[in-house]
Amino acid sequence: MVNLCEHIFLKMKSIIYKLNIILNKCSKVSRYYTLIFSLLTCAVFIFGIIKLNNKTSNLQELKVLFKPMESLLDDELEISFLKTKDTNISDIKLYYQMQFTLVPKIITTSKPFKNKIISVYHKSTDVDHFRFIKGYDIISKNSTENYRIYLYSKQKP
Amino acid sequence: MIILVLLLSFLLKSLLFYVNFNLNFNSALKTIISCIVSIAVLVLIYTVHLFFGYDFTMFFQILILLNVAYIILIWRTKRHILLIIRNVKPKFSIIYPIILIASYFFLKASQPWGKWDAWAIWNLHAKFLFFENEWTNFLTNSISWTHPDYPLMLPSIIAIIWKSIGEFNYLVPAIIAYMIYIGLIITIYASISNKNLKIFGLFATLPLLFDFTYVSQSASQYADTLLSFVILISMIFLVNIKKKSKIYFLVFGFVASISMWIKNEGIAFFFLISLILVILLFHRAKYKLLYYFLGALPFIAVVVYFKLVLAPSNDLVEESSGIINKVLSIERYLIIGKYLAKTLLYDYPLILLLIILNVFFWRTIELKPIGLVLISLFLCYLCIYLITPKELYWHLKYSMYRLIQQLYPSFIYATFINLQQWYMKASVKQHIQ
Repeated sequence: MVNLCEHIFLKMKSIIYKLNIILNKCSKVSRYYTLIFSLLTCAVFIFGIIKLNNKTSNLQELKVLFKPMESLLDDELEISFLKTKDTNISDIKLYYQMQFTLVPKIITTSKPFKNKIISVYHKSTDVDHFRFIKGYDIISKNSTENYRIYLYSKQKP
Repeated sequence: MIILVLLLSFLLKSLLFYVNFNLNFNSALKTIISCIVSIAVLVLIYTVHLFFGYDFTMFFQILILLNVAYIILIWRTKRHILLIIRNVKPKFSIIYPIILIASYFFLKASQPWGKWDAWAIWNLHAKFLFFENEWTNFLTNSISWTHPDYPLMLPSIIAIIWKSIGEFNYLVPAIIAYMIYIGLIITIYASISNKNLKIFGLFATLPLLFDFTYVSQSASQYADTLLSFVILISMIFLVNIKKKSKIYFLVFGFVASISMWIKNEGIAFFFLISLILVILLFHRAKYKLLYYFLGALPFIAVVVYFKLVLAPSNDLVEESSGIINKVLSIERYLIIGKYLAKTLLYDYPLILLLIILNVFFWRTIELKPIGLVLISLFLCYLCIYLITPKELYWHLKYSMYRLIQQLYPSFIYATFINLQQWYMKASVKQHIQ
């Protein structure tokens, strides 16, 4: 066993030695390769960023404003629903109905609502959250989907 | 803001490079350490501004003046500039194609706003920090799912850049994650390669490049990769502590303490690395320990103030109960052991290979402190699972891979330094024979 290990160690050592010689030779190639690889990396980076931008645009956003809510809440409140392409319209109706019972409760427990926006997101929605104030979970009785209400400030800094 | 980071990094690197601080690191490592220290200084200033409302612009004006003064100083002593120009000879290095491949894999795995924890925790916290007057709104346990007690290093970096460009841009966290990933690869390569033995540096970068679980996690924009980066640099400092100056320990303390402001696990890491250092140096060089803790003081103060005054209690601490029963439960040990084995086998099989390599080659005394820190930190993580108030399978499923991610680069570093030292000793032995 000891001999076998020693044999493997020696084999490894000679492989490392040979590879190191090859690598040292690589270091002696023209320094223009540095420039070429740097430019290629920049190109990959820019291409990657552009592709990342396209990934965002794949997200379908549906924004619905519900007028009846305004009579219930502060004048400057609005309800917006953002959804992914996987969410269907019946889901939206479902949590719109739930909001009627939940939103007034939120008003009594949170800070003054002037200039705030209430948004309802599907939990799996990958969206920008603006200015988050507080969040409440809504678990639908008729569906396995979970939703969460977020309160945001509408004001810009 | 970005220009300020670059200027400050240049200033710090020049200090580390030209003044005799006995750091003995190569130029790439010095650049990376300077960048990290500069970013940490900016985050500290921003944090103090958020906590106490001090004037943010005044701090930056002072920093800009400091940088301008330094540039004027080196401009007047033209020898420095000539020295810099002469030194700029970009030789070809194998690291360039490695960065190219790493960039491709990373950007392919990247997605806007990152994965769940990134947009629900780190990027969300950054959005709060963007608003200096209302940022404390999220510090409530009614939204415990966003973990409001988590440290704010990564959110602060993102918020500072958002503030400098004046908007929330999803590219900022993605580019920060990219820089951290590339920085890790360069650090691993630069810390292991030496003039004659670059092959070990090349080998050490391969797991980070071709382990797709690791790449995917790095692209997820979680703070774990940043923590792994700081742990790695602290380990590099720990390996090289012999015959080092006071300033070395001051910088070491500062760098190691950054981990506390990245994640709660960083607090455990800082405690353990400090403990090992105290054991190593208490009888030989107490004054070096003093400098180490002096360097760590700013982040210790920030973390203590945040945890005691501002942050709500941690969910694990608040919900914990029946700890003794959990510790005595054999079943929990078995579940954790099985899950660890499964994660290593299916998600990180390369780590198993590295463990085997370490079993055969671990004869290096200098690396014992690293081994101790890594093993004790991992045991600490496993102990948390043992007493967790959360459902054990759920907790393991959503955090085990991230804990491995935090220690992975340091483990690679320790393994390849070990292999390199074995190779050098074997070569000398063969030469003598």
